[in-house]
Parts: sequence; C-alpha cells; structure tokens
Amino acid sequence: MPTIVFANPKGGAGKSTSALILATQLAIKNAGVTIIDADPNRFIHDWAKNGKPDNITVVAATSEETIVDEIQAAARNTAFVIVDLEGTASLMVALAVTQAHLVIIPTQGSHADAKQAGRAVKLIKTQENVTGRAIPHAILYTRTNPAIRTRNFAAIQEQFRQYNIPEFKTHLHEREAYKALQSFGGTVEDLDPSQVGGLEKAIANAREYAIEAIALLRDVITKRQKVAVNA
Amino acid sequence: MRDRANIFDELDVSGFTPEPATHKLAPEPQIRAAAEAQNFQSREPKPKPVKKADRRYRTGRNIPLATKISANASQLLYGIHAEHKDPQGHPLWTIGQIIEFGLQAFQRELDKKKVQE
Repeated sequence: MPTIVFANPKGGAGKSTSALILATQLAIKNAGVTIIDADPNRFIHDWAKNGKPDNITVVAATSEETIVDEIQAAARNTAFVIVDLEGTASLMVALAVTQAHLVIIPTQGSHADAKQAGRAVKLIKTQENVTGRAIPHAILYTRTNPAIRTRNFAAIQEQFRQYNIPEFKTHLHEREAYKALQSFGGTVEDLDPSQVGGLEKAIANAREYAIEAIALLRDVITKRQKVAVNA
Repeated sequence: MRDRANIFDELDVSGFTPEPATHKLAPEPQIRAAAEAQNFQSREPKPKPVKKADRRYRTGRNIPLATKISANASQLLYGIHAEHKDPQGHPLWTIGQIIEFGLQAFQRELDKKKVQE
C-alpha cells in the first residue's frame, strides 16, 4: 500500500539508486514492489533488463496525465509502490507527491543538490496545503563518505535542521556495489564479491537504510490511523 | 553474495499489503497552479497548434525579370495591357501574364515547326 516517491529536481542526486536499493531490500523480504520509472533516463528500466527479483514489477513510460492512475493501480496490486522521478522541476513531481505516503528527497552533500532538495521541500509544503493532508518527507543524504564529514556537508545538514526538515539518520554511502547494480542487475546481495569490492558494507548500509524507511512508513501509517479514528 | 538469514534481522515488511490508495484527490488544476507558481511546470511536449488555412491567392509569378526591349515591343506590350479590360474597367491581364501568354504562343509555334521538320 505505501507509495514512496523519490524527488529532487536536480539530476544525479541519487534518486534512482536509492529507489532501487529500497525496492530490492523490500523484495528480498518477499514483499511485492512496483517501481514506477518516471525518469526518461530509464535507469531502473535498464537495471531490470539485466535481471530483477520476480516480485518487483517495473512500470515505465508514464506521463503527467497517467501518473496518478498508475500509482493508484500499482497500490492495488503490490504492497509497496516506489516512484522514481526525473531530476527536473516538473508538474509530474507535484502530481506524484500528492499520492505519496513518504517522499524521500535524496541529496548529496553539495550546495547545488541541497538547494534543489530545498525546492522539493517547498513544493511538498505547497501541495500539503492544496491536498489538505500532511505529506511526510525526509532528506536522505547520498554518496556520502562514511569516514569523513566535510564542513560543506555539515553546513548543509545544519541548514536543513534549522528548518526542522526531517532527515534519515542513515546516509547512503558512496559504494562501488551501488554503481555495480546497473551493470549486473538484481540486488546488492546477488553481486559477486570477486567482481565488486566492499559488498558487506554496502549490504549493511542498504539494510540500515531500508529498516529506517520502513520504520518511518510504520510511523506515518500509525499516525494516519489515529487521525482516522479521531475523525 | 547471499548471506545466511539473520534471526535478529530488523527489516520486517509484514503488515504492508496491496490496497486501494485512500488519499483525497485534490483537483488537478489546483495541483498544477500551485506547482507552476514554484516553477514546477509541465515538461511534456504540447500538441502543435493547428495551422490556419492559407486563403491567399498565389499566382506563382514571383521571379523578377529586368530586360531591355525595343520601343515597338514596349508599345505593343503596354498596348495589349491597356486595351483589354473587364466590365469594371480593370485590366484583364498583368504585364507578367501577357509576357507568359506570348512565351506560350512562341513555344507552340516552335513545337509545330518541329513536327513539320
């Protein structure tokens, strides 16, 4: 049921990679997942061509006219719906966001990424007013270095915190394994340690991130149920 | 690399099942207006505007011709132009048309000659 939308109007922020990692982690636990690949670069579509778990369905080629219907149709068929959006400020982002149980805003620790992540947050706030409901969201720091926290990154993190924008405690680190997913298809767990280095750490990082995403979703759903009971 | 299942694994996806979305649907124009105000615009190709029918009369005579002719030929050319008029008094043919008619007649003569030879 939950729809998780990955949005950041900047390209290369880590949307497709973080969407794919979450989808594959859920699929490993036998959950049915539909990935709606709304990015014309078709990163996820290409990944699927190289092999994917059977319980992941990839739906490609969406348009502004159909994206809401596609999300709703997917929600009826699989337990999780993941929407990977194009890295651009488009109407499709706004439409997808209105359907989200959780919007994950991936951003690298760079000013350019963070600025666009800020735009995504503003868009969410506006759409909350339009739809009359809270749209839970959280910043996910991507391609971070597990050993070094740069001053630039710290300054960006501080700015988001000043505005009380929720963030994942887990950062998705820069890992060779995540890049290798595109070449080999499948899941991080399926990769061959003789071909890809640092697999164990990549798997641990992916799981930690998925666990946190699920915890956020459970929290969102519990809050909604409480609101429904009180209404 | 598949690793052994961890009995303390915290990634628990139980309880999530397919079900219809229950989100209230805001009217699309409102979503669009709010998004566009923040420069999140439609990036999809818009249908090409239908071309208006071209109702201009085109003669196809659009090549300029500047040459010198004799005074007699000039008199003949402008004489034909001035002499032939419609009931409203407008010339029946333009100078260009008269030259074209003349050329056509000349071509016919040449063709006849060829047949005779």
